[in-house]
Amino acid sequence: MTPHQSPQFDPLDQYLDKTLSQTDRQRFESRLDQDDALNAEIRLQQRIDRSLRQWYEPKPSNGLLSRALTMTAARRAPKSKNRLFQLRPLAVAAAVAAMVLFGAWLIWPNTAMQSNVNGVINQPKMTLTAYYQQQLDAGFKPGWPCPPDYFKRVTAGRFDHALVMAETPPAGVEPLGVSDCRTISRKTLCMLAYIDKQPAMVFFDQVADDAGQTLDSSPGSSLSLHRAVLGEVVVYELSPWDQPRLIEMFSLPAPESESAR
Amino acid sequence: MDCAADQSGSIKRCLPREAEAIDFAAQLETSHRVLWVLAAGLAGRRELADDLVQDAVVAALGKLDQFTVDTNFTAWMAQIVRYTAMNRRRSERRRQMVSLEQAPIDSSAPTQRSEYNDDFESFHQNSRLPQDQPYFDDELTAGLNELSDVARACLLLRTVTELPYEQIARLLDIPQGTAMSHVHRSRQFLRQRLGQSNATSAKGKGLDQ
Repeated sequence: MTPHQSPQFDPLDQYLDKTLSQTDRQRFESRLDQDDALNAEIRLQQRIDRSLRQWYEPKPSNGLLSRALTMTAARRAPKSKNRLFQLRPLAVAAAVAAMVLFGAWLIWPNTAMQSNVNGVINQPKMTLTAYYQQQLDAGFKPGWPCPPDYFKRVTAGRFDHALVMAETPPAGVEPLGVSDCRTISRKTLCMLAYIDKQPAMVFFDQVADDAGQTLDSSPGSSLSLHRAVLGEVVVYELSPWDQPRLIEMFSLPAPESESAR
Repeated sequence: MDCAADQSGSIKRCLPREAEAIDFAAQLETSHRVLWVLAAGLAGRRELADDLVQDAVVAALGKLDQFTVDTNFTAWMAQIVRYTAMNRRRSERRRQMVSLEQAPIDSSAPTQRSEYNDDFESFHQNSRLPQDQPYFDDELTAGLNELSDVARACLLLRTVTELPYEQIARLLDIPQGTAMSHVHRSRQFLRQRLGQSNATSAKGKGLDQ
């Protein structure tokens, strides 16, 4: 047993910590060659250390932040649900009134469509999260259907750059349609979809108009937000899933298609 | 760009604005290993470390406004890990007040080793592990459990992550000398315990040390 010393000067600890000078280390190792008890202590300590390193080496932190973000939002959700429950009659009345007004715009003669667009243009911009929540509250219904050929024409016309939408969506993905949504800019197009029966949205706009989008710290933030850039178009996917599933549906057209626009 | 980079490359993951400001994701990735080992030391069990770190990250996300940019992120997170561990211990103590007394660990009792009969020598014959490894592991586990949380955390941070004593002291908010003392005494304690245990098991089974 080594004599007890202040830990800072215990040569055994210093040897284990590799803080001995070269001279002192050589001297200590000479001692080891002659002192069986000291040698046994060192070997035992090294064996202990090997076990500790094996047992306590952590795995990579995959998904840690995602899970934490989900838990953060889940802890907020009950309060917001209670608040929403109390305001429910008012919320329902407001939603009905909004839908009646929106419907009136739609059926207004001649310039109905233009009025609709102008109405959207004149609305203040919302964050992606807030818009998503608004759509959930309103029943999550798109403005109009959007088959792939229509999507290509809309993106070409709106952003001067066409995007292609896969004919067959990925497994579990159910596109519903698109809407005008003034979020990134007044030209933002958003697609509503279900991913494994959970509502999700994709937002499209020009890269040049994107000042950067982040998740709100509001009750909707149990969501994940992913960003991709396809040519000159920025694409944001907002959904309850950790991994993006909608973005992969969209791509740039082949050069031949580009010239045919 | 407001979205933090993730492993996928072209598709970027976006975080709350405050987290983006301090590059929370990257800093967490860098400090995760140290925080996990700290959590394992304070909790006393590897199995609890993941949960403890996750709870600490959740708590940190709610306190982002309290973090000053360009200060030591790992030390700040370590403080949250410590508080989270402390709160957990308090909750567990409250739950255990009515129940269970654990039998003291008796290193001479063969109860944990009844499965290891005379056949285990041949079982480990072709193994590269020392033949007394199961005994060693049991005793090391028991010894670690007898250390205080802080002492165990100091020992693991030094042994596994090889952090300098100064950093260990900062993470645990203790003087550097105290951190060194914890490591020194913990090593001594474990060597004494395992040295006695090995002698006992070697006598009992006729094994060579």
